[in-house]
Amino acid sequence: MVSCARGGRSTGLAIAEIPSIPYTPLDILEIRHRRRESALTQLVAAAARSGVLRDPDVLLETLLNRERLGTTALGKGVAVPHAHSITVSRTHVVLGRSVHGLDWRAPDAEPVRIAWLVLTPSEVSDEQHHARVAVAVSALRLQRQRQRLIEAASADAVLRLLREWNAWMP
Amino acid sequence: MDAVKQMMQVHDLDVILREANDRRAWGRLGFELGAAEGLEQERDRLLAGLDRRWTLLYDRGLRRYGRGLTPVRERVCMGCFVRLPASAVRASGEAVLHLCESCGRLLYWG
Repeated sequence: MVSCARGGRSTGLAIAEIPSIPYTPLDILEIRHRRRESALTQLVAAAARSGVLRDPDVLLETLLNRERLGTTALGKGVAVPHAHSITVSRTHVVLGRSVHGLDWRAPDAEPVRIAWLVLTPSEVSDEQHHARVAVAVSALRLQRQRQRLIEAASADAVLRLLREWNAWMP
Repeated sequence: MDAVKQMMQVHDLDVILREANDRRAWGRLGFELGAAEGLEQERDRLLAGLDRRWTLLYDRGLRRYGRGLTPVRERVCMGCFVRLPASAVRASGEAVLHLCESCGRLLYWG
């Protein structure tokens, strides 16, 4: 056993006993880019840092393919890109916020201020993935809720809001 | 691009194509879906570049289980939840395609 020594005496504290940083099923980040493709790259990189991806390149390609089917921007400054993918190992959400707005080819041509990335592992059912996306859409429907999400200071604060609104489906 | 990544992309394209076939449910959420022909062509292009042995297993899994490719977690097939035999351990840490001898699913082991 490896132990930490202090003043020549062992404290008996084993390195293995130091708690690891707990996994949070939600990341929050400020998007620096203006283009949809660059923003998706940044969102995927955040998910990769959380250790929920088997292959970030494949996920990025999947998200771009999904955009080819039709934009995931819903109007009113929000987009809900989503992937039900073999490369996702755990359900996860990445909330990207943009001060200047993103060009996401929204139906109302409004720049996207909130991009809510929903990631679901492939072994989860289609219905459950659809329900997870529906939860994100409903959380973003009201203007005052969107504003509170934009102003939330941390992932914990966002999680608290979503639980308060009954809009969290891990 | 290696065969494993190609197969993963085919899998994910099939999921997107299922979404395209379920326009009503996704439309209710506010998503406007366009034509899927381009994605189908991309799927065909990727499959054409793969070994026929894998594509046959993929298509069989897709028809039988609704998923052509299934992940392995902790040496367990996530389709039938049977632990793979110790002899199936990968030689190196890199991702491979594998066959589940219990259920016949094509496995992604990464």
